[in-house]
Amino acid sequence: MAIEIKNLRLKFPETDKRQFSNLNIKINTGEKVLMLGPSGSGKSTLLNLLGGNIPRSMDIPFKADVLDVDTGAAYVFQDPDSQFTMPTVVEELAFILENRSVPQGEMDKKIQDALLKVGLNTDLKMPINNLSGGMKQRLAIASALLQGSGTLLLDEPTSMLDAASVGGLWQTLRNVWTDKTVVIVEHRVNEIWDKVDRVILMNGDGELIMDESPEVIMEHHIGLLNEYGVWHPYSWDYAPVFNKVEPGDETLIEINDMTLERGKETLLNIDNLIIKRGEWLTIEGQNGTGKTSLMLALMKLIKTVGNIHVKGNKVRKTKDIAGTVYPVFQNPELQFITNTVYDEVFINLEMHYPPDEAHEKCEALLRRIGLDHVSHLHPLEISTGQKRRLSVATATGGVPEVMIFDEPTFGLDQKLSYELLKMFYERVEDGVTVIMITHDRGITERYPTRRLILENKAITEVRGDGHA
Amino acid sequence: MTVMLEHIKKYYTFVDKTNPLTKILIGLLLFLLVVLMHNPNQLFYLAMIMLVALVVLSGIQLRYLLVMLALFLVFGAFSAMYMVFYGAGTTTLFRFGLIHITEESLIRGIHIMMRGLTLSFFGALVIFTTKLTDVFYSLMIQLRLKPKFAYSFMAAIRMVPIIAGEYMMLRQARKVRKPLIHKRHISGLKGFITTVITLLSQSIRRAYRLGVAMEAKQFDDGPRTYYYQTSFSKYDVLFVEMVIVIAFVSFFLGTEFSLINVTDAR
Repeated sequence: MAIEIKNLRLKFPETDKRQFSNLNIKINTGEKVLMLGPSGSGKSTLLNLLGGNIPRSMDIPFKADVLDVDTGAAYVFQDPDSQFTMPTVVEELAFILENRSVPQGEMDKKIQDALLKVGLNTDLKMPINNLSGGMKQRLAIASALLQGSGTLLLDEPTSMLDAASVGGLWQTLRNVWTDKTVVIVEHRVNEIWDKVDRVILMNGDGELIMDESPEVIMEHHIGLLNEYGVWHPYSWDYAPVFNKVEPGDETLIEINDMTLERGKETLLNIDNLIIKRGEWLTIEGQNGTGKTSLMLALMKLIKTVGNIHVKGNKVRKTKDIAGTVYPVFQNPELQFITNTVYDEVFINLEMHYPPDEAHEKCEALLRRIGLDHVSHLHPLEISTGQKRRLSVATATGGVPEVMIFDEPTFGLDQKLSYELLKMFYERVEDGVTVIMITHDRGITERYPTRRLILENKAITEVRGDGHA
Repeated sequence: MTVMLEHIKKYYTFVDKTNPLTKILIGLLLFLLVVLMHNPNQLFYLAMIMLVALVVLSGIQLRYLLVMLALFLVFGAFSAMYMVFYGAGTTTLFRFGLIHITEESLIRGIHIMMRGLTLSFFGALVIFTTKLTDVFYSLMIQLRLKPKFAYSFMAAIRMVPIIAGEYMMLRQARKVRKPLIHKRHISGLKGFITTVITLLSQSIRRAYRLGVAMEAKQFDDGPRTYYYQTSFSKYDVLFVEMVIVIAFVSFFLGTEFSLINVTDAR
């Protein structure tokens, strides 16, 4: 069905400013529309209105002169872990059919059909918690199909997936969306840019500033996309360019004869790996090749066979190297321990500097990463991008010699990703070794001095483009 | 839970097909029976037959049952000890300081232990033969529990392993950060509070998002169909009959073939 909203006014209760004032949007039946905009532009809020989540489940006051939305619309949300109700695949899909009062006798066939369409080849009784992220999102698409709605609303469906699964997921979505009206909110748009009919760009004030076909935008308005910091297919042509890096000679980390295991299976063997001061390393590899495990093993957070030496000293416990080597996990929230953004950075600095200087440095660092205006807030209150930057700031504040980041640019828009890259480059210039686990070829093909590629249970090393 | 069970289950019996509500109801009646049974001989036979029922009907691999049995015995022995060591009685068997074991207290202790064992065996049989989802489905279908509650509970159970995983990651994250900062920020009560706040805030947000997702999937308290058709069947009759027979047989054996010369443990 066609969707139309006229003269929408919406304000979040706890804010002073209206999110939308006088917003008009019309989406025709069967159209595929991509919505872009910087964080805070209200894309997700709008998506929640289009399918009736507001006001059905979210109590946000709004008014509109015309509100023709599809309250039966099917959603695919970004977080695979918070959209399923039931423990197993078949029960989750049956849940949708039960909601629609489909007779029990017809359920099994419908469920089989849906799984076939999304290419989810798994035991029906498989617990959802055992599925990979990509498989969970396929399951979410299958449930959206079973909902039998003509409208499909996609709220960053691939933002928590690795690059390898993203392509497949969009392919699946395109296979099933032919006769449906589709609205997509997404950061990374390479896979779908030329597959949608319209691209709508919103600005930070919740206004629609552009509504064109993707071809027209590519030809005439790339500057505008860069200005708002949203990803587009040619984003990396505008990426920051750094000087080539000449790593130092001093060996910081040496790994010998290490074996990582998952269960009883060998995950990764490393005969010898030497990491020097001032290197910028990337770690790449398919899902399940042991990238994150390697990081945890290096920190002695999981059990492994083999030897690790940091600056010549054998590492036995995490405590031996904590501080010298600092990992930033994929989920930054788990690393926060204080009640304000300011304290989060300050407690690292107070160990290294006298109080006055520590306060000074703390303020400078917060300004530097653009968090000074939220320094009084609780670390869990700020946005995802801000959290990511804060976790980098806490890492920097500890003055480590090696920093390891697990997918640091995950789910960030173009602007924030480039900012992070600049911060990393500055650390490298200061002689810090930066190691990044990343799937992003835009990064791995430009910046590292050395690329570590994990495949066939071993590491292959390739000289990176960032090497002098 | 149910999924882990499938790996250690060798075969299925009629108890798997018995309605969960029947099992729960019989469990309550069995509790009353055990509490009112004062003849240790009868209780002994009841416990033994229940053990046989567990081994034969649960379909669980024997080595897992043996581990569990050992645990039950240890816990049972502990609970019995309070009664054994400090109970009143006239025929002293052993005395050491505060500890005073009499024949009466010994028998009473063992009696209490057997009560516990009987219920544990039956409880284990129920758990090993019941899927949690089936419990909620029969609560909805047979007892008209509102779907809102049933599905919320099932969703909550799904969250438990996710929260556990999150807690493990949080511990790792803190282990790395701990040496960098003053320990007053991370240890003791403060460390505990921030841990709880972090985990809670994650869970609350996840629950909120899930709530939105459930309603977006057109879930409401209105009429619905059910994928699992739980009902009462001949298996329920069989199960009830089995427990009744077990009770009578242990009565009979306990009376006719007494092992000890005590008929009332009180």
